[in-house]
Amino acid sequence: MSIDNITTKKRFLTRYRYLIIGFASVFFLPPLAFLFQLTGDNNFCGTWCPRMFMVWREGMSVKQYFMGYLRSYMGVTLTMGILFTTFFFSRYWCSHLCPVGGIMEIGSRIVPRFLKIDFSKIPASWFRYGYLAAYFGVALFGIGSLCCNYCNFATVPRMFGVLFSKADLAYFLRTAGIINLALVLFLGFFAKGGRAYCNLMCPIGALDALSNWFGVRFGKRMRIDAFQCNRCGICIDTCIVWAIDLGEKAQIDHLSCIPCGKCEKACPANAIYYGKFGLVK
Amino acid sequence: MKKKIIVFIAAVFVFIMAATQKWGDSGHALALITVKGGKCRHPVYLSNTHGLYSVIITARVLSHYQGNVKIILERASDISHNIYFSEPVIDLGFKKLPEFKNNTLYGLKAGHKIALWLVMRPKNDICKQSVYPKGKYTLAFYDTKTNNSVLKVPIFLRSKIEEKNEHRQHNH
Repeated sequence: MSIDNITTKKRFLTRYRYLIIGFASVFFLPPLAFLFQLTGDNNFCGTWCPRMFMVWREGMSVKQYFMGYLRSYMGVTLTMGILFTTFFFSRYWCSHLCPVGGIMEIGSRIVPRFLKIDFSKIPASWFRYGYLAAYFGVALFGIGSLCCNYCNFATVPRMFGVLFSKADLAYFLRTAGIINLALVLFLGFFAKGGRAYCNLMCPIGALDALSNWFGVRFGKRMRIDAFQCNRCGICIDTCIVWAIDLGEKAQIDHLSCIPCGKCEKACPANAIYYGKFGLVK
Repeated sequence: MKKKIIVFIAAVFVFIMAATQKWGDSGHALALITVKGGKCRHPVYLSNTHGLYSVIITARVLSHYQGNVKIILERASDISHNIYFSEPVIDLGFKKLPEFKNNTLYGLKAGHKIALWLVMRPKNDICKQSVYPKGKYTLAFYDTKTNNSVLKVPIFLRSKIEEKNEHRQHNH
């Protein structure tokens, strides 16, 4: 496949990205929550939980651990599907389909620029894997839990559900609910780019980023042609996950990049493209 | 590099602190509803210094159980409460779900998964002073036909001293 075909396809996904996020949100979020209803559920908790099954808790037997996989079988399917597709095609779940991250990003576009907080000074990967280490570690050593207490997948759908359901309102009538709401607002809606939560505190995003990184030589990714780059820095300003570094040589951090295509669209030198390793324009 | 390592360590530290923090005004009970009285994985412990409490009860229905279930918060004289059932806003009808009305689940059967929110508020005493309810409360699920219990969820409201004693005993 020639590079032109690849970029044409990419442009379609870039142009209609918010529309795709909107469709995904209809499938996942109230009032419809279509996908959950297929299994008799109405949110990410329980059968569809993508976060909890993978955590080994202190005192857990092997049987109990794998029972968690059975209990959250749709969450397991979803997570495995995300990791598998990411390895080959990059993080399209995060950029185009995730209703949680997507809504935070769209929400941040409504917030006036002067209210937005710039988190790009934080080295995202290091912070994220510090979070992930604690996420698994606290449960393993029986110190506590980060699974449900600080969960974006529980909070964002309930922010919509609260308009229709008192059960969803009850989620916010407690300290943990208020903290979760504050985190989503602070790291999502009021963050520059709207993806600070995804970039710093999402365990699925953290695992997905690893899959993205491991598959960087095999799969399609957002890439910079360093020879074509004129180092104008526009891509750095447009990147919602602060994944681009112009340093000595222009490069994309594949532990943070999601293929939203904003940089590709903004690049005046056409130096950024979506394609396989070694494909030079 | 030094900054990155500091950020990593700081993140680990912050999230360990966050994970150990217990707010004491909410809890989660994982349970099974069965004809033999049900099973709750562990009791819910709350600290009695708050003005509002919420407990989520998630349960699966087992053992070919079928029927209607009345839900009662037992020993609730000093506490007012509401129970909310988590259900789809627009029911697309892919799966027949139980109906919740007047604290009763109608048409419950094996395979159903339910999520209920119990919201509790301490009642004021005659001087309109807040009271701090204490002790064991039970959210009990009774089959309306037989009046047999199909699940009991113990909820403990404890004072700070009791919590500290419990913590000490746990550590020894």
